[in-house]
This record gives sequence, structure tokens and C-alpha cells, in this order.
Amino acid sequence: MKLAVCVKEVLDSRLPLQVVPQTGEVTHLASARVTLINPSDRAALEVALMLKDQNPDSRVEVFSVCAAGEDNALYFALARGADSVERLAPDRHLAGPPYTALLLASRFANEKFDLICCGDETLDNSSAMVGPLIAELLDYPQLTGVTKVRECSCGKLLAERSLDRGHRELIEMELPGVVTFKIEAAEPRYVSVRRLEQARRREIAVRQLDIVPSKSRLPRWPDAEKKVPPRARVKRKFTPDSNLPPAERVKMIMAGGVAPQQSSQNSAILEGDSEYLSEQLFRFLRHHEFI
Amino acid sequence: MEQITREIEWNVTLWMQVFLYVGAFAGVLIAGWRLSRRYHVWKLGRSANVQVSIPRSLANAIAWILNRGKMPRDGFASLMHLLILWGFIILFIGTTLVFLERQTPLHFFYGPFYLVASAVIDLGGLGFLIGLGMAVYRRYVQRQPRLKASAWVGTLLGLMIAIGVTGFLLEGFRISVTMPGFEKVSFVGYGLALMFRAGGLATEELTRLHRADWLLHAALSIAFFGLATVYFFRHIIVSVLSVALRPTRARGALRPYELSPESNPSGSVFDMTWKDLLDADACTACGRCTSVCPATAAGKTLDPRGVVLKLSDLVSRHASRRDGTTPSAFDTITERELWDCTTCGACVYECPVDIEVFDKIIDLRRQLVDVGNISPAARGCLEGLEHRQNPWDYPPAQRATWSETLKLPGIVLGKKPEWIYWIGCAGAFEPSAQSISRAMVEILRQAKVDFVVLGSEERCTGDPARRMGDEGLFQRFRNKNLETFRRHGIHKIVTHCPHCFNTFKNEYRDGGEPEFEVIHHSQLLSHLISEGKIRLTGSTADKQVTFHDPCYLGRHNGEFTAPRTVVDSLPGMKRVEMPRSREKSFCCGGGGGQMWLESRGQQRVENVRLSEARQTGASLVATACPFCKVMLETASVTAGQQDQVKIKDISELLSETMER
Amino acid sequence: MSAIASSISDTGFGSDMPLILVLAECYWGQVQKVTLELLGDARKLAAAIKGRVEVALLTSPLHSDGAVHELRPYLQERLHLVEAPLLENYTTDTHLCVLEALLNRVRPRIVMLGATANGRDLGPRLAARMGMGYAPHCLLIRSGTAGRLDITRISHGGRVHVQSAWLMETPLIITMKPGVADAVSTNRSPGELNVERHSADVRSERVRVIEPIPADPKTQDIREAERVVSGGRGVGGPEGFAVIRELADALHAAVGASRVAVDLGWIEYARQVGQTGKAVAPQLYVAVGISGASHHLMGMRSSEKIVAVNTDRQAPIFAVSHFGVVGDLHKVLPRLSNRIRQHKAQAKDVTESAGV
Repeated sequence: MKLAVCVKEVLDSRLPLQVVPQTGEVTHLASARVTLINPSDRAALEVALMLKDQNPDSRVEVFSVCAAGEDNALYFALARGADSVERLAPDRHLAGPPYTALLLASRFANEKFDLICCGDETLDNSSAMVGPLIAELLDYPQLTGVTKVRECSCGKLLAERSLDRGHRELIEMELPGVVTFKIEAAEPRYVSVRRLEQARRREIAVRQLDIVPSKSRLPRWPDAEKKVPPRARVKRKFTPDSNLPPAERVKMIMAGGVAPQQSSQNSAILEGDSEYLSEQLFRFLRHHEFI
Repeated sequence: MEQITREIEWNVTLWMQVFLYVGAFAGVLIAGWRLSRRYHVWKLGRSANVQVSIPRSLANAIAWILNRGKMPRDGFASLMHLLILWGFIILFIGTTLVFLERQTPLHFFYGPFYLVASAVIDLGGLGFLIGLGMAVYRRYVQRQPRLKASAWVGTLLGLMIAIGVTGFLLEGFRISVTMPGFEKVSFVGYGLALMFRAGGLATEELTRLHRADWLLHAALSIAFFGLATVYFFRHIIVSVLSVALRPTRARGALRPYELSPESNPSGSVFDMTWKDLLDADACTACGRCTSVCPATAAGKTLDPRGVVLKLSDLVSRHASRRDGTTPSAFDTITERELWDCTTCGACVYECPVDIEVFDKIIDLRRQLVDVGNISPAARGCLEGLEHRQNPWDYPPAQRATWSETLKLPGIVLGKKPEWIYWIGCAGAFEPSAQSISRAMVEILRQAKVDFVVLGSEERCTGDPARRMGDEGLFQRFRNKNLETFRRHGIHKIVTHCPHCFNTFKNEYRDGGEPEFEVIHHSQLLSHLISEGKIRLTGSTADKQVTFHDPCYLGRHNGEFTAPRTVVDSLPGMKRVEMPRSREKSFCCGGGGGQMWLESRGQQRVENVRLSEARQTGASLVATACPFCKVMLETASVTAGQQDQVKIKDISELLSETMER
Repeated sequence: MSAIASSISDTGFGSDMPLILVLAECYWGQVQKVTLELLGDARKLAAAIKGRVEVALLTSPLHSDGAVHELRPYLQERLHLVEAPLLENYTTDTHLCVLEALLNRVRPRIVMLGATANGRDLGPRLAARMGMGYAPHCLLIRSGTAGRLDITRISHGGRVHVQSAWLMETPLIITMKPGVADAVSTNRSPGELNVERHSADVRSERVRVIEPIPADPKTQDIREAERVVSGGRGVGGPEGFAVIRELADALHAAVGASRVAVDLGWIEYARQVGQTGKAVAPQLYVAVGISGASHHLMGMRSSEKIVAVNTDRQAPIFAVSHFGVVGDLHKVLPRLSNRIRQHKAQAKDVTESAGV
């Protein structure tokens, strides 16, 4: 089996971020940039390697569309045990998920990969477009949001796909195809620093593809986007109900309840008797539509 | 006058002699061959970064034989071993004298020399048997928990007793035939001879019995030589080597770990160091390490003796392997065992033959980490370290948040400060430890110590990375921190964290000259108190306090006094010692990466320690390590005793009672 | 691959009233709430750009009546209904080919989908196939100056907003982040339902849904749960977890635990939330009897809404909770669970008695 994995090095957006006003660049607040291999890409890589373990004469080839200094994800894949890694050099003037998908699909066009594995979305752009677009360009079937591969044999993939609200479905796809994986799809394996540094000493193959985007089936994408810090959307805040029905007020008095205290602007911390507290909890949950 | 001597090999035929010499030769050959096989397996191990110095090794070995190293710590065992060892040596010398007298032109075995020698030999033999009796008592009657009552041991003990007994019988039979008066010096033999005579045995019978017993004694002795390298009996020879090659580095420093680029560690003998393989064969299976291991005490799967013996077993398996297979330590050692270790060093402190016990455990961890075979919690911690420079996975930007309102003096490039107060990751991120940092800042300011902090230039020292087994990650931190120190010309560091202290002191220089001086805050504080720079007011109520020795300050680095001085200087405090204190201190359970790993096992290590503290009647536990503080606090919460016992760092206690 | 027949004539592309087509999200015949949010957004946008809204619903003949019935109280717009057996479950190929044909037929200017699992699966590919623009995971669409549409989408997991401006004439597919917009409420005076049926000959050879695996908070990994109710030291013992489970059941939430509860053996390690357990970021995290030590906070502080119940007013958990209650969980939780069950029973009664 020939497996292709698409990876990307991203900014660790779980750390505090800031948008640099002049350049619109997103970087880390008060510290050096921390980047890592996109976690769902890492899961995709793990699944591919697991499939390789199950089918020993398979190959796992890893690709990334990135500039020369942003290829840490490829070195990681190498250290983790990929059979080969390759950097697809993008044109300096073109960017965006459709272009990325185009480069990848062009690379895969004549290669006969059985399965193309991608992460479902990146920590930075979060557009979740590249996987489906590769499938469209190659006219392959696709599965997105896969959380578990149950079986991969006889040209078919049997997998669990995640839907919303915790629901999942068991779904089958014919190969060749494109699958995007969620972070939960695999428990990642640790790669020691020694192996990372060992991988660093190796050369990564680079390929330049001459592609003309206008000739391909791609969605239109804005030429320019502006990044801004999020503006808090003020939704009607929940406040504990001080206008309790008389019956409840009496109950409170009889129980020696204490008036609710507001500790900070953002949250309420209430004290009182259990009836009062449970009722307020109920209202809070109701207000935020958990009930 | 009768000649005071005896006829050597009286009643011993030529064939018997042939049997003895051939047999003995064969026995020694077998033993030698077995040892040599093991030696060749040891050589397969990788380099141990050990400078082998013959003079020092000899000195170690001799000193150990004379003063018996750590044996005296257990009085009964010490006496027992002394009797067995020296009894055996005396008997052996006796046999050698006999051999020399017979087989060489030397002629000395007569007259006063003979009388003295015979008496001493009998004493030796008696001591030998008494020692063995003590051993049997200890193992089978008293049933000491750390001693296994296995069939092998029983057989070997029995064999030695039989040798001793048959030896005495031999003497008895010999004497009983002629009953020379001077043989009263061989009091045991003489006594036996009297008994035989009294029993009415005829001379012929005695002669026959003597011959038979001689053969038996010879056979048993040959068997003994042959079996001298089986099971823990190897220690007779190998332990001398392990003691001779005892490491000279500080106890708190782990060995560096260099793998060749192609290697793929799998737990085979090639992946262990030769020293570890040799050590494992030196193990006497005494179980002292296990008896003091905190993980074992808390019911976890780790059994340090087990790990060492399994490594010894690996050597055996490798020596006897069939072509094509390479046995691995991981065939018998589980990952769980390895991850239970807190690196407290109690095992190394106790081991009578200087086996580097926990170093082996860490080395095996290193192999697991290299292959990536670790639990999600361990992975989370190591990756957090790699990306965020701290093991708690906090955003690096928050490192200085704890001190925002304190306006701490930061380091300025170009200005050489006197002291750097190194906060460490715990002191910066862990709320319970932040109060230690705050207390220290107050004290340093009050005592007008000229200090600065590195603020966001601090990063983890790499200690958790090293203990958890990623040596490459440790080296990264080490290099970056050393670069920071050099850039700023830092040469004096004080830290409240013993882990940082240990790593800076012992692991940041690897044999070269230290580039900077580092002290622990307890040392600085006790100095400040003695200089009168801090004055204490009598504001604490009479409290009973016990001091918990941190492993990385105490056992690993020998500092027990300074923190006690600080506690004793607090007015109104009554300090009591826990039964396991100082070098014998019982770990809090936080070291070796345990702070970030999942906990398993019947009990928590920290709860075991907390109960011990509570049993002293103390309502306050003083610590000198942020990890100890957090672990013991967690223990008090888990045990529901937060109100009954408080855990405080010495700096917090000082700050509370300090005159401002 | 498919043929579409329609009984009503089309509205031309480039007509004065641009068409905003809302794609209803439907699982196994059940219309999802995000559809109502989309309708809300679509109506607002239509008002701003002087457009009109229509709704497309793809489902199987088995479920179409039920689905239409569910939508009816909210619908003021024309409904394009496509029925085919293979549309019962979502697969990319079936929906793509049906929508390709439908879009070619009705020529919308803007297509709106929810940025749900299926929406994000379909959106990019549909946009590529149709050559339309694509704006993923959007929060806001505003009519801007000079005939432009200002769209704000999220990136970096929601920590950065990305703004782009689209020419009004560009046909566009937009996926909207669920849970942001207000859902439309039912029509006060429902009129005749305007349904345009389309048939489709749909064949899917490459992907097949075998069976649904419904969410079971009891067995699913807590990281996947949308809601978690966690118990800590205050629960007091394994029996104490019964009230936690009760509340979790009532809220359709998964049960989690703090390190202390797991260490004391009250509940299994798989449920441990925190630094040495799992990191969760559900929409609702209820911390019961949990003090909020830093290692626990690290495992749940990114939750959308945090509710805390604890007897200790000074517990650190209250510093991160959105709503806190200082009380005895053994008394408060059962009452709360009761209240929730009561409410559900009432709601059920209402719908049943309304005869719908």
C-alpha cells in the first residue's frame, strides 16, 4: 500500500497570541514563536504508520507545502519513521488553502497512492479545506473527521467518522481516496530529541511544481485577508434572579438564606440554601441552552 | 617427645588425592569458565563514561574488605557475614597450609606454629558454622521479609554447612585414632574425637569413616567451587569488582547517555553499559534496596532488587542464547516498574556492594523514551518541556506573572550581579511553590542581599527531562542555560529548589571545572541567620515541627544541617526527627518525573511519608523543596488532614517570623 | 449523474434579488438546530442586500415528511425538497451531485451551510465544483461599503478573527459557526408551505454509511463529550458519584473526575481530567466538589462554560468558573437533577398535547 500524508508546521495557537498591527502577523504574546507539527496532521501520520505496521510492505510518504524554514513538520515525520519526506515549494506570491491543495493534488496526480491522509484542520488557519479540495481535484472519494480506522483491506477503508454532538457513524470508502483525521484518531508516539536531531542532519527532497491555478477546479479565495484580535460578542449575560417568586423568597428567609453575592464582573458566586442554589443553577443552564 | 604435627594425608590414598586435585582443578575451571562467559557478555555493553583507575580501584577494594563498607549498618547481618567470610577464609588458609606442607619443599607445619594454626583454624571453622547458623535463623526462622527463602539459597547454605561439619568430623576422626595430647588445641576436633571414643567406635571403623568423610568433604568442596558462580554466589568475586569500580561522581548526577546514530535501543546487553551488567552480577540479592524503596513501600510494582537480578538474568540469557535471538531486558522488566522510580537514591545508599541501582532504571527508561514507548502523561510532560520550556505545560509568557506586583530586579546585560536568585519552574508556575518564591524575595530584600532574577530568560534546568529519560532534551536545556549564564557572566546562583541545585551543581559540568557556584537557599538562609542579617521575633506559638529531608538536597548532596539550623532558629518551634531522616530520609514521591506521571499502586508514596510525619506528633512539616511541599500538601488533602497538619517551606516559616 | 426535474420555472442568475440558499442540516430525518440559526443569519443578510432566502432540504422519502413537518413552524421561505433513498445519510458524493444540479438550476448568489462535520466536508468541494467562492467557519457577514460583503471567519481555534471583503456579485458558499447566531423562532402566523420538489437519480458507489454510532456519554471518551460533570474530593466516596452520574444523565453529559477521586479509587482513571489525565474542552464543564488545583485546571480551563459547586468559598475553582455555587453537592445536585427532569417532562407534555 502506498500512503501519502500531508503535514504542516503551525504556530501553537493554544498559547496566548497577539496580532502584530503593522504586518497582520499572528505571533505569540511575550515569548518566542513556538511551532509544532499540526496535531491532527500528526494523528494522520500515526494512523498511516499504524497501517504500515499492519501491512509491512507499505510505504508512508510525507509531504508539506511550505517554505524552506518552515519544514519542521517534515523533520518530525522523518524522525517518527516516515519512509520519505518531500517539501513542495510554493510560489512566493501565491498562498491559501486552495493553492496548497492544488500543489498537493498535482504531486499526487500520477502517483497512485492508495490513501491520502490529512489532518482535518490546522491550528492556525482552521479552514479544513485542503483535504476535500485534494479529493475534488483528483476526483477521489473522501471521508472527513475520521476518529478511528477499523480496517483497511481489499481496496476499502472501514472507519468511524465523527459527526456533531458526540455522534459517530461507521462508514466505508473505496480506495483510492482522501481521509482527514481528527486529533483523537491516534495516540501519538513520543519522538525523542535525539531522533529529532538525527533527522535534522538529513536532507529533505524539494520539488518545484509549475502549476497554473486558474486552470483548475478550485473555490475562489480572497486575495487579501486581515487578521484581527477577536472582539467579545456581548451576549445577554445571565444574572441570578433577585425577583424570586414570593414562595421562594419566604423559603429563603425561613432557611436563613443569604443574599447572592457577586464576586467579579464576569462570574457569579452564589451562596444560599440548596433549593435556591439548585434553582439558580437550573436557570443558568437553561439560559445558556444546556437544557 | 611426640612431634607436634600431623601426618598430612594420613589415610588418604593416591586415588583420593587424585580425585581431590583433579576435582578441585575441574571445579575451579568450571567456575572460571562460567565467570569468563559472563565477563564476555559484560564487555558487549556500551561505554559507561567511567574512568577506570587501577590505584583507586585497588584502594576501594582493600578499604572495603577491611572496613566492610556499609555492612555495619545492620549489626546482626554484619556479624553473620563477618563470621562466614572470615571463617571460610581461615579454613581455606588452613587447607592451603596443609597443601603447601605436603606438596612443596616447605616445612613449617609443626611445633608452636602448628598449635597456634590448629587452634585458629578450629576457631575459624566454628565461627563459620555459627555464622551460617545465624543465616539460617534469619532466613528461615525469623523470616526477614527482604530475604527470600528459596530452594537454591537453602541448598547452597546447606552445602556450606555440610562442608563445615564434614571438616570438623574429619578432624575428629583423625584425632580419635591416635588421640595425641597436643591436639587439645583443636578443641572442636578433640571434643568430637572424645565423643567417638566414648561411643565405642573401633579404630578400624574410625579409619574407614575418616576416609569416607574425607571423600565427602572433598566432593562438597569441589561442588562449592563449581557452584560459586551460580545465583548470587557470584557476588563473592564480582562484588569486589563493583566496589572497586564504584563511581566517583556525585550521587545526584546521572551518567550521560550517548547513543551512536544508528542504534535502536531494545534492552539488549549491547544497549546497557558494561558497568551495569557487571553490577547486576555483583548483586547479593540481600534486598536492602527494596526494603528502603519508597515505591515498593507504597505498594507499586517496582522492586529494585528485582530489576537488578533481572539484568543479571539477562546476562545469563545472553550467554546461553541460541543464534539469531537477542534477549532483551524488556522480556522480563515491565515498563510500569521503570516508571515507578522516584530517583531518591535510597537503594544506592543502602547497597552493600555499591551497585548503581536506580541508574539502571533510568537507563532503561532512556531506551523506552528513545523508541517513543511512553505513557501519554509522560509524553505530555516531555513535549510540554520541549515546546514551552517548563514541565507544567504553562505558556512560557506566564513565567514572570507570579512576580508582577513585586517589581523584582531583573538582570541587565553588562551589569554583573552578585547573586542570581533562580526561581525554577515550580517556583514560577506552581501556586504552592510561588509562595516560597515570594517568601524568599522578602527575606533577600530584608537581609539586603544583592540579587537579581533572570525573569523570562529562565527556562527549565532540564532535570525532569533527564530523569524521565530524554537526554537530548536535557542537553538542550543545559546548553541554553549555560549560554545564558556565560552571556551575563553569572557565577553565583542561589535556588530554593534542590532539583535545580543538584542539576546545576553536578550535572552542568560533566567532569570539567565548575563555571559557577550554586547554593541552596537553606545554606544561604542559615548563613544569613548566623551573620545576624535576619532577626526573628518570637511570634510562633509552641509548635511541634518535623523536618523532611529532600532527597536531592540531603541524600544526593549531603546537606542536612543547614535547613535544620534554619528551623531551629525559629523561636518557639520544637523540632522532632522522623525515624527515617537524613541519609535514610523517605522520599516524598515527587522526584523522577513522578510529579507529572499517572500514579498507580495501593498507596501514594507521599501519604506514607505524611503518616510517618504525623506519627511524630508534629502539626507542621518543614520542607526545603517545592516538590516535597506540593506532594505532602496533596497527601494532606487526600488524607483529609489539611487542618491538622501544615506543610511549609523553611523560607516561608522564616518570612513569617522575620523582623521587618 | 443525476437529472433534476422541476415544476416551477427558475429565477435567473444575476437577477435583482440575489438568492440566498440555506442548506438545512438533517440527520436521519431530524433537522438540526443549526438550520434555524442559518435561517436567522440568512434573513438578516437578505434584508441588508435586498435579497431573498430559500431553503434546500435533502433527505430520503422515508424521512421527508417528518423533516418538513419539523421545519414548517419556522419556515417563511420556499423550500426546495430533494428526495432520494441514498440521501438518508450524508455522503459527499450523493450530496455533491444533487446540489450541483440544484445550484445550477436555482442559481443562488450565496449558499449557507452550518460549519458542522458534514458542512465542512461538503462546503469546500461544492465551492470548487461550482467555481464559487468559499468562506469557512464564519461568525459574521455584513454588508459593507461599495457593494462588498464583509465576512469575518475564525482561525487559530477562535483566537484570531480573519476579515475578508467579497464583491457582492461573487457567488459564494459560506459555512457558519454553529451556536453563534440566534435561532429563528416559530412563525406567529404560519402560512402555506411553499415546497418545490426536485427528484434526483442518485447513485453512490464509493462511500457507504454502514450504521450510526450514537453518542453515549457513558462510554465515549470524555474528550469527545460536549458536556462533562466532574466529581472531586467533595464527593466523598464511590457512592457519592451516584449524584454526579444522575446529573450527568439529566444533562446528557459524560462523567469526569479529578485526580484525587481517581487516586482514592472512587472512579476509573479513564475519567480523570487534568494534567496527568485528559484535557477536555467541552461546552459545559460542571466541577463538583473539586477545589481547582492547578493540575486540574490545566485539563479543563478551555471549557466554554464552567460551573462550580463547592463548600469552600475560597476554592480556586471559583476563580475560573462562569457560575459558582457555594453549597453542599449532596443536597444541591439531586435537587438540580430533579428540576431538570421535571422540566423535560413538562416540555414533552407540551409537545404531545399540542397534537403535532
